[in-house]
Amino acid sequence: MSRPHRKEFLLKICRISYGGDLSLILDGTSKFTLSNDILILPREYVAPDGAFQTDSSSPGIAFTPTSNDNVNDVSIIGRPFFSAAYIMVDLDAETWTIWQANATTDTRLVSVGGDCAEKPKVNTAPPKITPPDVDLTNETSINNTASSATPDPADRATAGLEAGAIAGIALGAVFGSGLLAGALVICWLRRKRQMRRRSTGSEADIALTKYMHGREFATCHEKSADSAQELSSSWVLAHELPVVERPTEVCSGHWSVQAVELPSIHTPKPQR
Amino acid sequence: MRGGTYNASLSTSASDDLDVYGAGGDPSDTFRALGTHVWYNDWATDTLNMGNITMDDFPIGMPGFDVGGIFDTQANIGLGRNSTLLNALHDRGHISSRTYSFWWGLNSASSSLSMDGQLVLGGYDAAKVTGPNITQKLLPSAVGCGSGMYLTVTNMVLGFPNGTEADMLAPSVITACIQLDFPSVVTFRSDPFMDRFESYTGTTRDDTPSDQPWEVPSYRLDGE
Repeated sequence: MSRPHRKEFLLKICRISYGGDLSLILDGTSKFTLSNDILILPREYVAPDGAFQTDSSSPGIAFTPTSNDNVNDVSIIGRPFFSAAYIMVDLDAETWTIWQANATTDTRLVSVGGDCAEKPKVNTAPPKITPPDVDLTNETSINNTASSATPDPADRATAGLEAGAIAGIALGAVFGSGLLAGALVICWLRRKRQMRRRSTGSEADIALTKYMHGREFATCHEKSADSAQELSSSWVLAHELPVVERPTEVCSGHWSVQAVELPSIHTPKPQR
Repeated sequence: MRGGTYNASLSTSASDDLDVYGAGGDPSDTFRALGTHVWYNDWATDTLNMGNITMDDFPIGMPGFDVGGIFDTQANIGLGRNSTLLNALHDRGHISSRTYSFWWGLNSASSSLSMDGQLVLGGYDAAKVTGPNITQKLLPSAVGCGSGMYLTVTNMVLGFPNGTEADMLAPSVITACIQLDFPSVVTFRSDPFMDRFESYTGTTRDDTPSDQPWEVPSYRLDGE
């Protein structure tokens, strides 16, 4: 996969007539808003005296449009998005979590994992990974026309490469869904066992059974829906990690330090 | 000058001239499979100080080539699936899980609005998150998405100052890969999405080549 041409990382624009913001909506529900001064940036450089300088006469917008060789690349969400979003990656639980970011200098570190802490609960199915950026509507037909109209060797070479990449992604997706299916089966079996242990035949159980069958693994976790009340309230169960800090018990003297905050990551210091 | 370089010969605590196995690094960093460029046989171990933690004999790899071009102008902390750093912190009891959290902060031309970002190892910062979350499984690394973290972007809504809104994506939906070191908000097809942005906002892109790479502050080579 070739990378986009460098000048397009922060696309130069001639006339700025946009003073608004940009909201990315994920999964149709979660909204992440980037304000105008994060989206549109002046050029930054380091002057000979070592100080940061900005040149607002040639601003750029933090978009990377792809075309030609890169047109079929998987779309990338990069670091400026994480002004509006906060991400946690738990390699042990093999999960990642994003929240809307609350821009503050306050800090309340919460340790994750260990024997006495809860693991992040998966609450969202990964997207179905189709050939990148191609969707189900108008654009597809436009692209199809374009590629079939120009069957030159260079295009075919690109197509071959991309097909390899896509195959890799598809393989990954298949492997991933295998894992998820396994997790689903395990959760389902566990759920079934729990239900068998409980009083059988109540309406709540029947409703729960129907509910579990109608939903994917995302609803399947150890403590969900233990009572009829929870079921009758709303299907949108709270699967989130706690967003409000709660006291975290330190495991029996084993962990001497909890979370570690690194010093500022955003002040490169030129050296001489 | 790339934000400081490591020179084993200037360190009194280094053991250098090691290979990746001798140093205890992750051999996959030397495979060059996805543009990784750390030499197999140019490794050292040294004392690493991080916050209030000191770790002896920590493996350090020397990049033999340009790493990532302008994507990447600093020294690197590896936070991949087999992160040497997270493994070491976990094994030595400093963190209770191999977890990291990242907030980019606010990078704004206005210094009054700017705010430093944050990297937390072993947990997250509850003060910096709000609302419900989205949690997904990490999927295996792929050529087009090394992180294995995929998102579905259903709308990209331009919010104009006068209150009107326009969706750059509709009726499309894009699947996007999270790449934390990538310097722009999002990559998408120029046609139709960037074209839509231009027509909705009355903006024109400037296609004249630039001598300077964008986004990454550049340093003078001669002054080092």
